[in-house]
Amino acid sequence: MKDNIKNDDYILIVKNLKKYYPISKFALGKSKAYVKAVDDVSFSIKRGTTMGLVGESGCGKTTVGRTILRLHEVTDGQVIFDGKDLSQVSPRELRKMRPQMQMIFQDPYSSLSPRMPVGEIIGEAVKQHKIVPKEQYRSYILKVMRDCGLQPQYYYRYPHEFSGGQRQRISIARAVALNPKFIICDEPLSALDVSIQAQIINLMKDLQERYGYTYLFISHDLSVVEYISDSIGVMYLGSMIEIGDKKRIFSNPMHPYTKALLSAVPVSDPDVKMNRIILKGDIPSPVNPPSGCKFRTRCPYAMPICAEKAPVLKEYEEDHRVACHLYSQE
Amino acid sequence: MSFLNNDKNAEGVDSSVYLTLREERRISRENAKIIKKYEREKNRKKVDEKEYLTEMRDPSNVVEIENLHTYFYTDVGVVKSVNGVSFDIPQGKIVGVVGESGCGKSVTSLSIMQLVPGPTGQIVEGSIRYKASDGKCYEITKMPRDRMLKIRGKDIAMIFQEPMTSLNPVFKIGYQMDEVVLLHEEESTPESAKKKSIEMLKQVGIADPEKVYASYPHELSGGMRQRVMIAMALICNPRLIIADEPTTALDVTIQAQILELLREIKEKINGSIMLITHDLGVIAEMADIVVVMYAGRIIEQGTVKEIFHSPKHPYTIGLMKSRPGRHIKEGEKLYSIKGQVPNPINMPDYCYFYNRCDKAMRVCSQGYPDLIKFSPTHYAACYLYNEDGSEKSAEEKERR
Ligand SMILES: Nc1ncnc2c1ncn2[C@@H]1O[C@H](COP(=O)(O)OP(=O)(O)OP(=O)(O)O)[C@@H](O)[C@H]1O
Ligand SMILES: Nc1ncnc2c1ncn2[C@@H]1O[C@H](COP(=O)(O)OP(=O)(O)O)[C@@H](O)[C@H]1O
Ligand code: SF4
Ligand code: SF4
Ligand SMILES: [Mg+2]
Ligand SMILES: [Mg+2]
Repeated sequence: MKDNIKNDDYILIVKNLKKYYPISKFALGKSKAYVKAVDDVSFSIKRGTTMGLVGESGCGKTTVGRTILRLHEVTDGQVIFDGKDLSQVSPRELRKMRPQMQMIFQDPYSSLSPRMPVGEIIGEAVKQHKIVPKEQYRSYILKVMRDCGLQPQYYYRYPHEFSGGQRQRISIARAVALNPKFIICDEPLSALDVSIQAQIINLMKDLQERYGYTYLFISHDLSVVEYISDSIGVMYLGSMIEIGDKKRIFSNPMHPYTKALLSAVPVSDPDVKMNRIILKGDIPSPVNPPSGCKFRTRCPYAMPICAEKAPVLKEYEEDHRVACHLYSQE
Repeated sequence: MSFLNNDKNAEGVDSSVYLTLREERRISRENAKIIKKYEREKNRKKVDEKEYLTEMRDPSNVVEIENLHTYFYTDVGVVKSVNGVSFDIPQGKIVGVVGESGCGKSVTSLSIMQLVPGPTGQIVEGSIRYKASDGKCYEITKMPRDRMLKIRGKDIAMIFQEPMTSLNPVFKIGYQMDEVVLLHEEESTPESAKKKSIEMLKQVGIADPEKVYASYPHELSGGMRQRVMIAMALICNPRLIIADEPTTALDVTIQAQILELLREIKEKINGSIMLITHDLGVIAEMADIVVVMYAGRIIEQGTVKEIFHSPKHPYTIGLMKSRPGRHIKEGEKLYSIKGQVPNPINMPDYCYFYNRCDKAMRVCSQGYPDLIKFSPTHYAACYLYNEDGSEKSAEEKERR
């Protein structure tokens, strides 16, 4: 096998990932246009850490998650999971690897089957993948439920009897039961109340400490991302525009978009008056993104070169890379 | 297995009472009777104005809500969505309303507009006084439907979370805006209405108002649609804007634009805003006065400084602490409020927060606490405090 790309520190390495969705232009018949949902994105995540992926809606966060898991076909690029290039492995092997990569979704209402009791929802895939011997099945599910703060008597109840927070616990339990190494969490908190969000964040941290999970945490809530992540990736219109260590990015955001994003977060203190950078206009359509730097239509610092050449990610300090012409592209 | 029968302390599970068919029929018969009574009242025509004219307690208020109860008569029982809520909206101020999902924020605002989804939803008690632009004060709970139509949209305007649901997808923006102008301005003509609509679109910072005027709602982005909603709300010079989660569906950078716009607009019309949100950051930034609701009641209210710098109720304190932010040290756990809100059909007759409160005492399970006054503007309903606003001593708490 040609998986000598191994770098044991990283559980996931994504290289030049592209995902284009075709949209047929009705006027032109055959010729096709594409939504470039993810356009040449690269990053890697160290084992046992959390990477936060932020950006505005439609910028491609969910698509990144889904293509990593092969829920969507990749248009181009490489995903190396646990040392194995997923585009090289056989379907059979891929199926065997499935339990190791799990996803938790935003909406705990629609992602749980209404006709199955909780125990079965959590256990269905456990049986299918034979995670534990038959005799231990029930005690195993009960242990997972306990880990996730679900009481044993919920085993035979149905999802509609639970609140949003508890349903999210059930979806976490379902993922965790497969004994995964890597979990993609796609806006797992946004349907929940503030007081419930804290319960779920603590649960996720707990589980990570105990079982060493690696998370890709997708969210548009920057305070939560700052709290939970070790590293951060900022996306805009399908591209990664700034990436690196959490502390470096929050203390020294370099890309004009990241600066605006961080300054736009309302602070829970009436005495703090933010020096807010208010961006003009809307996010352009990903079907027809601006030439050069995709952010230039809203960027307060846009220069002529920004329309001509797309800036590429360059490292400006250790573990902190930015794609912007304000900084030397040499 | 034993754990399966032990259903008693199913903490947090929606302990929905399973009703028999007969009980359900009985409930729905009773409901029908009650609903009919309220509907008859509302549908009366040519009601003498005297019946719903009133006086404001304080003339500097635009709205005074007092002991409001709004219930839903559903087939599984009565949902007391708003259960004794009182607060004022002063002229020129932003009142922020926060609270858990389902705590009654939206139903409170719909009550002000007489838009509670009927016939199951009814205002059953309390008063909502409104000072209209004609100088008269109306008792909204007693106003007949036909009169309310005039006030709604003209004096009071509403902006919702998802503008797509309040814009009609099959009509162009311009058509929908012109209609509002024509409805509320007697002298307007189609031409003057169009001029006014475009003027309003300009006022909310839309760069190309003619183009937006000629667009369908789905052709606009979320932030753009919210601007259109605000423009529509402004057409009739409202004195009160009720904004129910106006930025929840938007991205942060767009949210920042819309909040800025709302603030500007408020200054321009010298009006008031009732701002409903679950985002404490938005509240801290926008509100002058904060109302914290829990399970249909107000558990604390005060100026924004009072609420953020010296919250009194354990729920408010918990909310503040459970937000990730700069106050959390590296590696520290978030504070989290355990459990969840009690079932709205079976509310306890003691402190609603009792099952989640880590300061609960024995008295807390013996009756609903009164509001304690901490300052002329700051109140909270909790047994931890003496009547003069001081905190009870440790021994006293122990004893109770
Ligand atoms: N049409 C209805 N029929 C029956 N019950 C209703 C109806 N509308 C609201 N309720 C109930 O009234 C209570 C308060 O609802 P409300 O919509 O005011 O909550 P909210 O505070 O606005 O919540 P959110 O933050 O989720 O918008 C809830 O228990 C809800 O289930
Ligand atoms: N199945 C799909 N078919 C076509 N376009 C899609 C599909 N899924 C997402 N897109 C488009 O791809 C872009 C990125 O979407 P998504 O990854 O869902 O963004 P995010 O999760 O950051 O909000 C958007 O423009 C979206 O409309
Ligand atoms: S490359 Fe140019 S347009 Fe893009 S963010 Fe940097 S300065 Fe702005
Ligand atoms: S009254 Fe008691 S239970 Fe309720 S919030 Fe206060 S201390 Fe907690
Ligand atoms: Mg998404
Ligand atoms: Mg609501």
